[in-house]
Amino acid sequence: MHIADGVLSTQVAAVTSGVTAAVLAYSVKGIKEEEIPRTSLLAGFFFAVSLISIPVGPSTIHPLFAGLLGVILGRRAPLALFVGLLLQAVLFQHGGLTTLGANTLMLSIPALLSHSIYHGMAGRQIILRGALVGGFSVTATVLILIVLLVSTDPAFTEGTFSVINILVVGHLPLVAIEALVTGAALKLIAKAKPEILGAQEAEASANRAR
Amino acid sequence: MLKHFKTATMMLVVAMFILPATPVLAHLMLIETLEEGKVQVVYDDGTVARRAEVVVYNEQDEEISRGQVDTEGVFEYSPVEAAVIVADDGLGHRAQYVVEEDQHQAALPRGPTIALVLSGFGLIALVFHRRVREKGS
Repeated sequence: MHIADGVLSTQVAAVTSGVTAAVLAYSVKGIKEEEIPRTSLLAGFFFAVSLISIPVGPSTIHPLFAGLLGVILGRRAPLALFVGLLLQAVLFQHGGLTTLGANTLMLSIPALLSHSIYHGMAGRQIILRGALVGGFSVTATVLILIVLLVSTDPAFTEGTFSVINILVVGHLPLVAIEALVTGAALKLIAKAKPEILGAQEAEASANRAR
Repeated sequence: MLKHFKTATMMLVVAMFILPATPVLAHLMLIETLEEGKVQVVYDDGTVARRAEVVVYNEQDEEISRGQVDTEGVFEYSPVEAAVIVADDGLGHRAQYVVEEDQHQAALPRGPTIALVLSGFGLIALVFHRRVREKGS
């Protein structure tokens, strides 16, 4: 769910924007030309896929795939996510500009964590690792979203049909969907073009050996 | 490997022409004027907002009216002094309408814009892919 302008309090918007700026600097620093093709393609994938909205009860959910992006792009994931979100905000008013930082953070943190989790489990079945990371990333995003909303206004939690409850229930299907798709996608990539994951897997094991 | 890249980009281009056919695309909430003193809160796919709260402000940013839309997403208000109308559906969608000003600047056409953006990403990927190959050889 992309937060629109005006939903978050000024403090929350300001803090998240600041943190995102730092995360972006980290993400962009030292980027190599070899990394740009996959970063660009995945940014495009993310852009396209988040435009799909699935109505769930009174709200809608959007596919996120922060887990998939995190596993493949690692450090560059926040950059891809940010560019995708920026374009969505500017071109389609999908998500606000003051909340761009919050939206980016909501996806970047799970993405970076997914990368660590996935590559930290090197050697195990790819589908399992992918599914774990796919489900985890959606859960993490919803958790961060809840924190941001509650920090803005505790009223979001009021009532059985509170916004928070609706969001949580609404995203449960997405946890399952993204777990399945991420697992399947990573298995496919590992078969068709293992270099994308391979180089990182080799790097990860080398790092662990040090 | 470059052949695969071309195929991938081709597939991306094809996909973006299929995407606009997807029945549901992301929600943008809008306020439409039905007549003076009567607005309807809708989403950009045509569905009405059934649970939006509307607040009307005057030129001094003071609240002059507040209420819920009805089951058709319609909200009636006194046009006297009304300057800005804000609708919020409590689910993260917010719309604003400035009375008098025609806020309906045509939204960008979806299909072509998506196609353009994806082509852009594909192009960047292709360009840098080629550069990397040249560096290698």
